Order: sequence, then structure tokens, then C-alpha cells
Amino acid sequence: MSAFTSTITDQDARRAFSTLLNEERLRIFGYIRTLVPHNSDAEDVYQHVCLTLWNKFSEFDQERDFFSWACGIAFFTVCNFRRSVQRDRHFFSQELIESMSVERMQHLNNHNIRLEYLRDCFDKLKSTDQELLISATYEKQSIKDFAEKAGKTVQTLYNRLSTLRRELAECVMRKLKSEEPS
Amino acid sequence: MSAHDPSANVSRLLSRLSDGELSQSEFEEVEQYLLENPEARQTYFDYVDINTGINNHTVERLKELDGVFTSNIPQSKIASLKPVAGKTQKKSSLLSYIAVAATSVMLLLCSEFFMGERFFPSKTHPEKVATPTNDLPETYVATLVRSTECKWGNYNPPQFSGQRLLSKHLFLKEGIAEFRFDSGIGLVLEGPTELKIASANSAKLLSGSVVLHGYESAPEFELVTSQAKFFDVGTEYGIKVEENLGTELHVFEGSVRIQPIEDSSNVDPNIQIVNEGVAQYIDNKTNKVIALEPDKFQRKVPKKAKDPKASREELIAYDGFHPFRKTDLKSQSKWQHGGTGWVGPWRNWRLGLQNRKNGKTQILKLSPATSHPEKTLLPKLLSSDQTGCIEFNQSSQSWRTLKKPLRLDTDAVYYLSIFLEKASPSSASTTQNQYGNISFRTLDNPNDKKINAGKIQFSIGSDNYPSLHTPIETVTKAPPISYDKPYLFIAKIVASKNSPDQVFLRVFSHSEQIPQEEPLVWTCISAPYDDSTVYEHVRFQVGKYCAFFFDELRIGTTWESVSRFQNSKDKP
Repeated sequence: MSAFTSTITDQDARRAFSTLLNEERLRIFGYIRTLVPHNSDAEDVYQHVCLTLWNKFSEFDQERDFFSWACGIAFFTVCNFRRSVQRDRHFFSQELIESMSVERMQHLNNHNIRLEYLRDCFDKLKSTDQELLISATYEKQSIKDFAEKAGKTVQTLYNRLSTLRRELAECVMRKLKSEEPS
Repeated sequence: MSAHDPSANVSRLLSRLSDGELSQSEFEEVEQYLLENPEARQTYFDYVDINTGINNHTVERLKELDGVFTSNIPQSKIASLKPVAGKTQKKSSLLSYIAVAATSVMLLLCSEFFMGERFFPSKTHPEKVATPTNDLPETYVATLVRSTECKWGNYNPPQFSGQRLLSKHLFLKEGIAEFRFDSGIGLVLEGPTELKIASANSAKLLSGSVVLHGYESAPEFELVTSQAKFFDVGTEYGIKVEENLGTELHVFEGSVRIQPIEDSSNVDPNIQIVNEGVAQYIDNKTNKVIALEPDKFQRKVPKKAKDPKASREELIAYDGFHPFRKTDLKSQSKWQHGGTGWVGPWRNWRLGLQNRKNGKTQILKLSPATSHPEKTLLPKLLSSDQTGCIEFNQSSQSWRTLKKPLRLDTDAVYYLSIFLEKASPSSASTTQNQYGNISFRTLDNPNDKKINAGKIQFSIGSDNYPSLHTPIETVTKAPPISYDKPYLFIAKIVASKNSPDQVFLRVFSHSEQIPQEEPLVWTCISAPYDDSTVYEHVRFQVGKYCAFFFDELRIGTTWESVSRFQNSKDKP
């Protein structure tokens, strides 16, 4: 049979996989990013985890929670990555990874509502603070550029970032307690 | 983000940790603090979420990273993909690794090829044995419909009804055999007859007797003898060729167009039409009208009354999903234990049989499907004593093990029939995860990376289109099914020891009559493929946001065994 007339290859499975990943993408990355201190390393691990999830998707019991299944695979991927990472990079100890792993999964249970509250809180910040926070999510260079433009030192901006994050976390916490999104 | 109260210094360190801006000593300090302080860990989690949550590009970035696996690219091609472009311009070490690995594998395979004269390592499954003939068809073109008292004189003779035609060269010494081409043309051979199949639409009759049954939507079938070519025009006709003699043509219905073979006969060089009720004799010297003799031909394979015991043996497994009646046996009082031809009850998951205690298999969890003892999906015309069906919903599935597995490593044909009905979705909020399917499964090769590995599956997708899945492809066909209407799925699996296997699926709507004989038209047909798997299990599976009803599951070796619903005595 030199050529066969495949119409749709693995379409159902791919569709199911895409749907689940669309729903859980942020939570899976949030889990990985917690255990992997560098964002670029976390992205590598995330991509590796997605590859493993896809390769093992035929074994996935759809009665189970996809996020929990993904976290199980992500945990082992992080552990393997930790063993292979160069020594000049920061990486958490195995003991801390194990401690944070379980707690982080629980913490991510209400991720969606907390994300909604976070956006509410973020919208209430001054535009310069918003820009600083967004710059910090990119590269180191962004903060340096931001500092030059603002005429401030990088250290001052990092201190400000710390304050802003703390305020945002407190804002979200208040909203969670009141359970009333504004 | 729960606001905890670490010291300002720790908060600053955690903030800088989330920025990746710590010195080695600072990192060690914060790591120790995280290890000892649960509240600090919660704050760190909050900060990570703030970073990912406020960045509108996070989702897009992640989609770039995982798009390799969610876009429509075969898994086998993933290794050859280029790294995705990222904002950081960072080369993904994973993809670099994949590229290096792929190159290494290619080098290894090339060296294997040059040094060992073989490219791929041996497969897990036994290889199909090459047949000592080059007579195998490039692709299947016809099926043996039925036969009686046949003796064949060629390699790869057809052995049982439903089998695909394995040889281009047929020599029927004795008996009567009826083939149906995939185009719809039927051909009845009466031994001794020798016939060579040239294509799906042409054959050469070397000697003997055949009757051709035309099919209105099929292309013209060309039957060639040494004297002429015969083309059917919506026809039933018989042709008889005797060695060193001419050709007799008897037209029973419709017309036949005759085209002479140059310099080989006395046929009028112009195209000649022979109409219904006329017979013609053609040889090198003669071209004359003769008396029509329909009785000279076997126009159908005579049907024999089937031994009831043989009929029962054709049914491998059955489950009508009736509540089990033996209520005195507590362990067998549920519907999961009903039916025949099974090992153990319907279980919740494939591993349900794995717990062994004192040498006995213990079922961990029975199927979660809901039993509806009074509901049936069977149409009115069928038996009324077959009430009882099951309902699956919310990502549920059930497995059951067959007493007689489906063996694709041998010559055999299997049929499956199942009534199913998809319930209207309760909410229009999502169109995903609304699939339902039944599949034959094996657990022998769990490490196979193919998504369809180890299964042959028949399904209704979230988009309501029926489809069949083999380990190499998925075939989906329109039209979609309707909600809240029962459908009958009948599948056919043609297994072959030395030749490719093939799978067929026919979907019957609630208003269709189920034919007594295997139909010509199938809803989905797989490409022929090599499969030597032994499928031991049957699995039902339903997606997260839908409900399906299933009823009257039959697995057998003949069309009749899975399509006769009237007589419950036929159950094994």
C-alpha cells in the first residue's frame, strides 16, 4: 500500500488535547514556573512537558483531571531538568521542589478567580506602575531601559516592584475574602 | 493571591526571585526561607501569578511554545520542526535537542542501512509472511460474498464470506463463488473457471462460466475473452468460454455492448449491442444468434439452510445490557455481569482486572454507566423482549474482556453491531468533548506513541460526524447524525495473515431497513494496512459534555450474526 487515503489524522485526539491544553495552559505553566526559578528554563520545561503530554495522551484516563495529570508529568520533568541544568544556574533543592509541588497545585485550584481579581486590582494602579510591572515580566533590559527613561536607579525600581506586587497580592486577598468582584 | 506577611526584606527577595534577579547568596537565603516558611511559599506563588497574570502576552507565548503539539502536524513529524520564534530570541534547548536527536537517529539508520542492509529494526509485532507469489493485488478491489463447495487451484484462495479478494488470478476448480467488486459489480463464478482480475473494472475470462450483475452507478465493467470485450449497460448477463472454442453471451437483463478484439474474431468491426433476451455465439469464424439458455448458468450462489448451532457459533460475544436476572448471586446481580462471550464484568477502567488475590482476579470497580432497564434503542420491528440499555456521560468509560479475542494475525473476518444514541447537549456553551465511541483495544504495546495505537475505534465526534479509526488513520464522513435518534453501527474487520487488513463501518439511521446481506455501500472504509494485533478488550468511551445511550452489542463472524435481532435464541 504505497499511499493510503487518510482523511483526518488523529483529529479527534488532537482536538481533545488542544481543548484541554487551552483550558489549562496558564495553570500548567504557573505550576512549572514556580518550581523553576528562571523564566527561560520554565519555558523549556513547559515545552518538554507538552511534548510528553501529547505523546502520552492516548494513555490519559479522561475520568481524571487533566491539570493533575499534567502536573504529575511536569513534576518529573522539572526534577529531570534540575539534574541536567548547568551549575551556574539557580535551581531549587529537591526537597523544596517537593514541598512546593503539592502546595502549588492546591494554590492553583482557584487560579481563574484570582486572575480575575488580579486584573481588577491591576487596572486600579497608576499607568506608570502598570508599565513597570509589565516591563518586569519581559527581560532584564526592559527594567534598565525603564530606569533610564524614568531617571531612576534599577534598584529603586526593583524596590517599587516589590511594593507593587505586595499591594496587588493584598488587593486580591481582600477580594477573595469578600468574594465580590468589582 | 493571598496576602501573607513576610518581612519587607523577604518580600523584596521573593519579588526579585520572580524576576530572576538574585545573587547566589541571596538565592540560598530565599531558598532556605521558602523551605522553612509556608507563608513565604504562598507569597512566592502569588508573585509568580502576578507576573504571568498581568502579562497579556503570556498566553500567546505559551501558545507559540505548545503550538507544535496542538497544530495539525503528525507526531512523527514533530522532530523535524523548526524552533518557534520567541520574544527573547532564545533558542529552545528542547527543540535543539530534538533536532540533534533526529540527526543522530538518521545517521544511525543510514549506518544500519549501509552496514546491515536493513533500515529499520524488527517490529514488536510478528511480521506478515511474504507470499510466494507476485500475484497479490496492489489494492483490494472485491470481496467474496458467498461460496459453496468450492475447491480452488490458485495461491491465496478466498476462504470465507466477507474476505477481500487476495489474488488477481482465480482458478475455481469446483463449486460456485460470488464476488462483489467495490464498484458494485457482482460476479458469479462456476467451476471450473479461470479468471484474471485486471482492475476494479475489468477482468479476463480465460475459460469457464461467469454471470455478471451490473450496478447502475458503477462504471462500465469490461469482461474480456479471447474473442471480444463485453461491456455491461445496466446488465445481468452470462458468458461461457470453452478452451479452443468461442464465447457464448446470454443477456438476461439490460444490454451488453460488444467490442471486437482486432483480428481475433468474426465480430462485426462496428460496436454491437446485444439486448435483453438475446444470446450470441462468437468464435473466429462465426458470429451468430443462438437460443437463450438462462438455466445454463449459475446466476446466484444457492443458499443453504443454516444449522442453528452454526449460527450461534458465529456470534462471539453479545450484551443486550439487560439487568442480570440471577439475583441470588449477589456478585452477579448487576447489568455489568450480563451478556455472553465475556471474561468478567464491564469495568471502570482498563486496569480493573489487574488486582489478583489468591490467584483470583478481583474487579476493582464496575462500569459507571447508568442502566435503563425499560428503555431500548431497538426499532419497533425488532423483538420487544430486548429492553434495557446503558447511558454514559461525563467522561466515563467501560472496558470488558472478550473470551475470544479478535485476531488480526490470522485470516478472519469480524463484525460488530451496536445501537447508539447521542442525547441533545444540556448546554450550548461548548461544542468540545461531545464524542462517544466503542473500540477494540489491546494493552500489549502501551509504549507505542501513536495516538490510535492498539485500537480500532468507531465513533461519533463532537461535531456529530461518524468516523472509524485504525492505527494508521481516521476516516470521518458526512452527514452528521441527529441528536436523540438511535443509530445502528455495523462494522466489519477483515483480518489477513499475509495481506493487509481493512476496516469498514456502516451507519444505519432509525428509518433504514437493515439488509439481510452485507451491503455494498459503507459509510467509512479504511485504507488497507498491516495489523497483527490481537484485540482482547472492548471499550466504551464518552466525552465530558455529552451523554450517549448504547444498546445490543454484538460481535460475530458473519453479517447475519450481528444484524439479526429478531430471534433471541440465536444468542450464544
